[in-house]
Amino acid sequence: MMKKIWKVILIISIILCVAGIICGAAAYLMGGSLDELYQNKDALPVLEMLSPSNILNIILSYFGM
Amino acid sequence: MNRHQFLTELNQYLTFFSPEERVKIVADYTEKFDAAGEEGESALLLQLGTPMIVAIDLKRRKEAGETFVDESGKACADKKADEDESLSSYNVETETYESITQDDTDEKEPQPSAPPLAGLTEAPAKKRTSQTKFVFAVIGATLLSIPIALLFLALASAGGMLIVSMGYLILTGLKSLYYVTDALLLFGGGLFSGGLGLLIIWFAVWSAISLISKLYRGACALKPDIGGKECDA
Repeated sequence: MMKKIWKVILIISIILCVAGIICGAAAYLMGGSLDELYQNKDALPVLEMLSPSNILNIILSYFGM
Repeated sequence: MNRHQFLTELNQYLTFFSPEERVKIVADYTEKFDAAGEEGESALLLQLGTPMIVAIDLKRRKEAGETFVDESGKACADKKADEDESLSSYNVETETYESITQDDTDEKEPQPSAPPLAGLTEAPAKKRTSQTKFVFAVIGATLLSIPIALLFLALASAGGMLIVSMGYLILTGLKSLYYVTDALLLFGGGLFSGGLGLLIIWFAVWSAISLISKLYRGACALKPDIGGKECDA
């Protein structure tokens, strides 16, 4: 049972990751870049929220550091 | 010592026998007491010796291959009881006891020699030790499970955060569809983080379950009564 669940999750994860890589590669091939993405006003708040430095700050503030 | 004390104590010492054998042996000795009556009770007690000595004798007979419950369910101990009206045919320990009781005029409680005593008291002591080990193993497994569970909970939380970020990135990508490259980058990042998050959550859950179950299986293997059989099932 556990092995079946593991296989399903592994397949879903691989599909998601491969799809993500394909999307990113397609975007780069079409001339897109992260610098341009940061110019997007809609994407900027989310990118700032998900930036590693922001996540680290949230974790550190949670533990009172 | 009276009949009730004798039978209770004898039952406690019959740890080497199966429950059926114990029941039959105790029933057999109960019959003996019934047959002896109230008048003959003290004489019979004197004849039999202490419950420990009786248990030693029964244990030796069992080790010699004697069965105590035959096909018809009648205790084989009866045969022995019929054969031995007196305990003259009893083994060394019994004879020693008899000689003590016969010679002893001040009704002092006889003390059997050390080796048979050790043989009988060894089993309950071992059982107690293994029970203590089992209890400590369960406590240890529980204490170890807590940090393991917390560690993998933190890992699963990280995976959960990745899945949440997938949702944010895909929603933002849908808002930015007029910039195809940005949308594709957002979708790509979102899908990748989602896949990674799912993998991390599953890894955390699976590792936590397998580690904690292994700990408890190890602890269950020390349980004296089942020897880990229930845990394996």
